[in-house]
Amino acid sequence: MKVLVVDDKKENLYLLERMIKKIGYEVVVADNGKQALEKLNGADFKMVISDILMPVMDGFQLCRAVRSDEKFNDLLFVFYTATYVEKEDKEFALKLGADKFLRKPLEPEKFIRIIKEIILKKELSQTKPSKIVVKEEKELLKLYSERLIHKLEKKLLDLEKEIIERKRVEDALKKSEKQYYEAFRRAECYKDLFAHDINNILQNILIATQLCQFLSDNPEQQQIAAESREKIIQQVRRGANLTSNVRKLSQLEMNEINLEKRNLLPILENIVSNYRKSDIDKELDIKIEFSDENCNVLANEFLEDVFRNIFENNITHNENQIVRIKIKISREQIENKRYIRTEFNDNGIGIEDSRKKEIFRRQYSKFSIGLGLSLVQRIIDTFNGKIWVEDRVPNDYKKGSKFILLIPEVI
Amino acid sequence: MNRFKVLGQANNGEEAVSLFKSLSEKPDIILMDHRMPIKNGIDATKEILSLDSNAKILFASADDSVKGEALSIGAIGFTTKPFSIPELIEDMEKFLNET
Repeated sequence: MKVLVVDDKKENLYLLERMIKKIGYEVVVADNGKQALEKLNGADFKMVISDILMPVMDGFQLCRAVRSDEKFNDLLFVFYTATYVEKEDKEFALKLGADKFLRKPLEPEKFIRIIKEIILKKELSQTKPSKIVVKEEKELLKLYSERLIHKLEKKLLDLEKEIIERKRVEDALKKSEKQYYEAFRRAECYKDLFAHDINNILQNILIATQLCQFLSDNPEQQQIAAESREKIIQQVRRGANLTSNVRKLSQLEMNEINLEKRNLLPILENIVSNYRKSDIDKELDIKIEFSDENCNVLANEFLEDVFRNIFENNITHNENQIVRIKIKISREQIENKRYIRTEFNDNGIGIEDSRKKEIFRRQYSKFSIGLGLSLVQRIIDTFNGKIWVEDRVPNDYKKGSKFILLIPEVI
Repeated sequence: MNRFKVLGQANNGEEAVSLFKSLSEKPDIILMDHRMPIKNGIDATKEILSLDSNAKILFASADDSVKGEALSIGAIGFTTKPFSIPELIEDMEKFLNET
């Protein structure tokens, strides 16, 4: 007894052939409907087991051709499909005259049992050959088109889903690449901090300590010894500030940013008052000018670090015995956006034009030491604000600097 | 400690080059940092050596990633921060005697 197996996939044909041969049937294979018809015409077959989606001629067309030809009246026709699996597909297959509609995949034992049952049932009952339920060519064509269109639509939807999924995966990959780059850049920055900045601080402490030792029993050099002791304290403060900024930077890069309404005036006043109480060796003359007490901006707790680092910069880079800082707070509007403008005017050593941008970029600049202003820039970026530096007296940088800060205002 | 006399100090590479030009008595050794504003140590060394190829420049920097470059452009030595005062003096004497 011969069984014709029709499938366009070689691996499917191979598996089906092995399963059917096991139960003692002879197997012939074809890889599309047209080839199947040619083989059916040349020999006597008991059964066709056919896939549906195939090139040249699909399974529906093959079944239609078989059931329209009287010489195949006794031929059993079984669909075994993985793509046309819906209820409507089964209904259409049975209307075409199929004896059975099976969905892939089936366990081999179950598949064999079903095939055996179909053959046994046919032999025992001598049932009439299956016939096309719908004879009208027009109606068959309509049903056939519907199945094809439906399949096509489903394919398109699947494709669309696949595109969306691919896009999602691509985006995730891009994001992870960016995070990797950021992490690498951060690691480089921290490495540089330890390799360079900490060693510089240690160097200064070491030299100042040794100077103190060398000069301790020389009464004429006590002034230099005192300056050296002061230097040690300064360097320890610098180190503490550096580690605090590293911690802040790491927090800033790891956590989600939440902004809220904050009045910058009391924050500023509090820092100024703390500086006045501190033990720095310079005299401070700090004035705050404002026209309205409500200086509400969209910011977070890092605002304090912005001010602290600007002050630190103003004080460190100032060779005068009296450090003068005049802070002016006002409102500014740029392209419909309202900002609170805070200006820090100092009498420090000033910043040459060529360095005015560079001082805010630690990772690109190998000149500066410390993290302060690059941290300030990072924080201001998260506030969607702006920061830059100008000469306090235009075109004469040696008279001191003017740091200008714009932070979006909230009413 | 008093064997050395400091002829001058510069805050950055540019100041170092102009100071070197202006000194009538040229220094026996120049201590050069690398990371400085306006002009870094490498560029300043190149300029000083182009003015006087016999100038002896000893790098003293915390950034030892430029050690190779400093030596290749003609610095006589490289000492990495942090170092103690006796270590620095020892280094200066060693490099002065070697060259």
